[in-house]
Amino acid sequence: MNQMVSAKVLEYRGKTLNFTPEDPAEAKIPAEELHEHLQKPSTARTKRLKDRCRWKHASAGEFIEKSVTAGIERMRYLTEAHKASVGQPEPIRRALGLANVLNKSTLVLQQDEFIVGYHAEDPNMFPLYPELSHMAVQDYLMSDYSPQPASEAAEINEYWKPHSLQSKCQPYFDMKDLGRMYQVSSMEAPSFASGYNSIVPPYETVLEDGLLARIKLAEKNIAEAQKVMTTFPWNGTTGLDNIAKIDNWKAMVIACKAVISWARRQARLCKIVAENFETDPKRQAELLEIADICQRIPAEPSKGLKDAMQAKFFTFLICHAIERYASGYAQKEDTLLWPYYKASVIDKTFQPMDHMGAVELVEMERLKISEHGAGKSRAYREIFPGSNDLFILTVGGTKADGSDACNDMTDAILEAAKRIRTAEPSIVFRYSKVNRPQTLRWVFNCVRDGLGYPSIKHDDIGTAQMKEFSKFSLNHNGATDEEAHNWVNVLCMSPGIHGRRKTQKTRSEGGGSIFPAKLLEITLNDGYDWSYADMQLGPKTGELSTLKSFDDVWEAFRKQYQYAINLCISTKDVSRYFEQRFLQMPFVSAIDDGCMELGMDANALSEQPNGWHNPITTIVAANSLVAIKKLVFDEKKYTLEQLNQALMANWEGFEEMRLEFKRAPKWGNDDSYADPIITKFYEDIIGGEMRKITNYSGGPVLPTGQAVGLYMEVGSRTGPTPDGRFGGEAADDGGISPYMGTDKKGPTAVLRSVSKVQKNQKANLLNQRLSVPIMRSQHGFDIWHSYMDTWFDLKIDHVQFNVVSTDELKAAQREPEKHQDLIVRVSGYSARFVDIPTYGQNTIIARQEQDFSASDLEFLNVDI
Amino acid sequence: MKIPLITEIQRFSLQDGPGFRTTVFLKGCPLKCPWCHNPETQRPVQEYYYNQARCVSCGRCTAVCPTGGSTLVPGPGKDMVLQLDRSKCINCMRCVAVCLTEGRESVGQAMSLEDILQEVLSDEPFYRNSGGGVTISGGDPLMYPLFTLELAKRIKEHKVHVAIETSCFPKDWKTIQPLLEYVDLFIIDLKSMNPVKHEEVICWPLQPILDNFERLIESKANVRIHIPVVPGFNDSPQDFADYISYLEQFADRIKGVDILNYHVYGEGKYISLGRAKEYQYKGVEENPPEKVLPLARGLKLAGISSVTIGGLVGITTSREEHGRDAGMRCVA
Repeated sequence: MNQMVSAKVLEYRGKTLNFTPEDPAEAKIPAEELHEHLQKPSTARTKRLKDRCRWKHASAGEFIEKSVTAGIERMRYLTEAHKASVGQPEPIRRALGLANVLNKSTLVLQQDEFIVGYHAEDPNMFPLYPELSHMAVQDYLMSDYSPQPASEAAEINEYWKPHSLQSKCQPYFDMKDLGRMYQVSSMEAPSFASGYNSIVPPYETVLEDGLLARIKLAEKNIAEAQKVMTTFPWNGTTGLDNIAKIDNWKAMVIACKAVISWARRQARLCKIVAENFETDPKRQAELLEIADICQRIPAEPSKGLKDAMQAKFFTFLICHAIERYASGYAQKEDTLLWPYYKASVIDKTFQPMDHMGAVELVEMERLKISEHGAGKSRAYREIFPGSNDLFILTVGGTKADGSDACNDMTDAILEAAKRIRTAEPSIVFRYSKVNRPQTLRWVFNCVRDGLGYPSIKHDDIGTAQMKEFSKFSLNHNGATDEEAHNWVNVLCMSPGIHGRRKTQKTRSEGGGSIFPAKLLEITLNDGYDWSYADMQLGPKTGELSTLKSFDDVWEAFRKQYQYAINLCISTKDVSRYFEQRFLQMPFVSAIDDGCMELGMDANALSEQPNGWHNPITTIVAANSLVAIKKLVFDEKKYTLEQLNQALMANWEGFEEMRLEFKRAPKWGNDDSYADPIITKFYEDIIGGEMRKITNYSGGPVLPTGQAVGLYMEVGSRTGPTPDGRFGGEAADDGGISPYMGTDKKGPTAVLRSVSKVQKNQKANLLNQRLSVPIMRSQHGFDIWHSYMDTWFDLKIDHVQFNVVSTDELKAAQREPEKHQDLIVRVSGYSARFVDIPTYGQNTIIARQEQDFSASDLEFLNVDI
Repeated sequence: MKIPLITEIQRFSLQDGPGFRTTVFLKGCPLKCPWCHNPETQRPVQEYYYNQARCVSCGRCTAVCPTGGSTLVPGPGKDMVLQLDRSKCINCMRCVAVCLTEGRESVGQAMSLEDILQEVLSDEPFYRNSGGGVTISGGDPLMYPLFTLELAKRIKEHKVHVAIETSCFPKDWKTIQPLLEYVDLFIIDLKSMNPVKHEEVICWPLQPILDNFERLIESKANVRIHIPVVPGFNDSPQDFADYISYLEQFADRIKGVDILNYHVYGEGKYISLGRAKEYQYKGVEENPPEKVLPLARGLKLAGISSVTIGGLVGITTSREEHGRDAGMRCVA
């Protein structure tokens, strides 16, 4: 306690080690307070904005700030329009709904902000989506966060029940199967119940063309289609296609016009405040500048960096929060903004500013995202502890010609993230050996400040995955080899194309995960779940007595997995079927070149396949299989019956046996016994069986090993497992990461294990915790850089780091109020540590701290 | 060829030579440094650590102990507590096998050469990117010259950098000479320049060590010197002056000197090994880091290019030494 950062003396084999921080000022900071000192907002304004930021973080399903509630305006105006538009074509009804919300909703303008716009009537509120999930709304109605007046909200929700996605999809499934999914223990609830979605909006068209140009395009297409329909000789086999197209284009026009007038309402508001209320002449001028921007943007093309940031934010709000809910913040931020950075910072031709001006804009944007709220159901709030939603932007990587895509905008984004220290949006860095060192330095600076991001993805692997999926394009218009370089993380882990078309518009990675740990548990009980739901949770795959060999266990698990994965993907796809008929997204369609050209709704058009799906808790299942093989079938020390007896007793009275199962080889130690089994488990079953399935987009389904917060929730619903875990304990915390605390051989051995899984292309999350003093010393960058180059050579898809000391984590548990700025990596996202429930905090503390040497090491510092 | 027991194979070591390294610790050392921090590497036989904090006095060990070394006796409360009598221990390790709380841990593992080789070569890709390799340490690897030679040779077949950490004690140069072909870096511990102190305190003559060191230099081997600075033993101005004047002769022929300040962390290991009485430095205070500065400055003035306190050979340096993309990807 109260140990200084530099005073960290470690002893290692007869030598002592003193780490001198690279920044000598840090020597005076107690180690457990380090992260409170790393915040350095670039201006007084961003500091004020952060101090008064209205966070929407949830912990254990509850919002942390007491004033947060759901708003009613969006659901009210959407419903009003839906009732008024009966009989009109469905896409047009959707557009009219959006227009009604945008035309009538209360605008929010806050002190000090330069990027404006909000998605609810009050900055403490967020909208709800009864048309997606009436169950989620019901959940709010019964809570302290209910929209007011509650009776009106209840009435609205009642109205939507027959129209909702859930009601439309459910009849096509057996309630027995759905009942199993609603347990959220072997499978997540079907996505039609949660309404979960994630997209990559084609921001490029908004910034490059402006919406007026999009309207013109749609109108031209309508005119041409009408011409075709009136031209001799009529051909009914193709001519009738124009009806749906015309409806879609008309909907696009309505949506774009509504967005323009909504932006211009913001402009008017700024002007009114400037001219009638604001007394500070500086702010007055600024409000007039914002008014000017919102008058032009997003109607016209962006000309400078301020334009681009505002256009991007408006687009984000519509695509992710107003037209419908969609998770994510998926853009190639540095590539997207570079032309505008160049215009404003380098050429100074429009909205001139210096580099720090760009940094301030990014800081302000990060705070807008921090303030953003999503009306997620209680279950979804529980699985994202410490955050408000999944916002992940992507930077770095390579251009179409393979050259370095990093630029000064990349550095501005990373610098802003380091300075302002917010949990969101998270950042993905596409690591390539051609990336310039100055940008890698910024990546490292963020990592060693303990932000948990950038999480690092292998640039070549992502590009190869885009090419692979492209082969399965249903309209033979997937990503070209050049376009394959244009990828971003759609959510935490899965890559998808960014750009003017071919981006992902409907969920892939999220919403409907599969949980192998629970599947393994029920495999040992003929598909029956004795520990949590007390019901038959999967098919009958054989009593224990019929499992005579390890292969029998393996094959029984395979059958459980096939059953569950089939349900997971088919429920997702049935959701897609109805979404394109009743939940069209006319605005998203309008800004996609593909939808615009083909007159199709964004839910329907899928040019570049996206077959990603999350297995979560894989390593508990994998380690369990290893222990079973070793102790039951190879060494024959125990029978399966004995094992089951011990599991049913939650190991009580079987301590010796539990220790043996716990000591069995574990993933992450470069172990010659465990690794081949686990590699095969991934390649043959987790990826292999998934791959046999083709989803709506035409692509094979591939695993994107993950965790979100589900490793905790599912862990609590999973009984004792043969890896020596007690019932209810958390499951493994991410994709392909070793189970917490079981990687004993250091970070190189973890990478060696992980690198063995290669077949059936995958995206897979890897957590590493690195020692604070080493990372903060002058050798930190070189050590990290060598480590990263080897990670790259080993062809591992992903890695992310927690660089926070156990001391500081524990200090934050004792005195949370003093550690508001302590950010940690949970899984695919970062969160404020103090906002995470204790149970989750403990799993983060339990992750093995990789000291780049067993427990201590020594080395040094002053080369005199 | 006798294969020594291994106390640990430490992957991702940063302090035992250049770059990311894997260090193999062999069990057994002929010297008797009273301040030794790693008592578990002194004896060439298996031992065990006893961690009292983890022991729940369940008595499982007493049931398997063939000599009565572990017994349950009435404790201060009404519970029985475990009593250890290490003098009766025959190192059969049965108690370690039955312990459920991981209160006992064996030290010294028998491994085959192939297994050792497989483990040390696993991190080969990391060596490439960091300019690292394998360090054979101990104990003293020259306790097992044939094994060390064979291991170095086999590692070298894979073109991996090999370092050994030794006191260079052997009285016969022929023990060391064959290693020249396979060892890229010799890290030599020079514990004192005073032959009387050396012989009396460490129980080994100084001369063979100096002879070996000088022959290594003549043979153009890469040598780095470690100087452990121990309170009351070799930390007087005269000791420092002796080091400086001796090493000055080789200033341009050695790779560098690392000064390792004595510290007090060794005691816990003696206690866990049941050998607390052997630890003669109980209560001795550490020197403040400034204490070794005159030695460091003197060595630097004597013309030795690389002098560190603590002993890291950084990764950037090693990349340059290896002539690999040095500077290309390192930020100045």
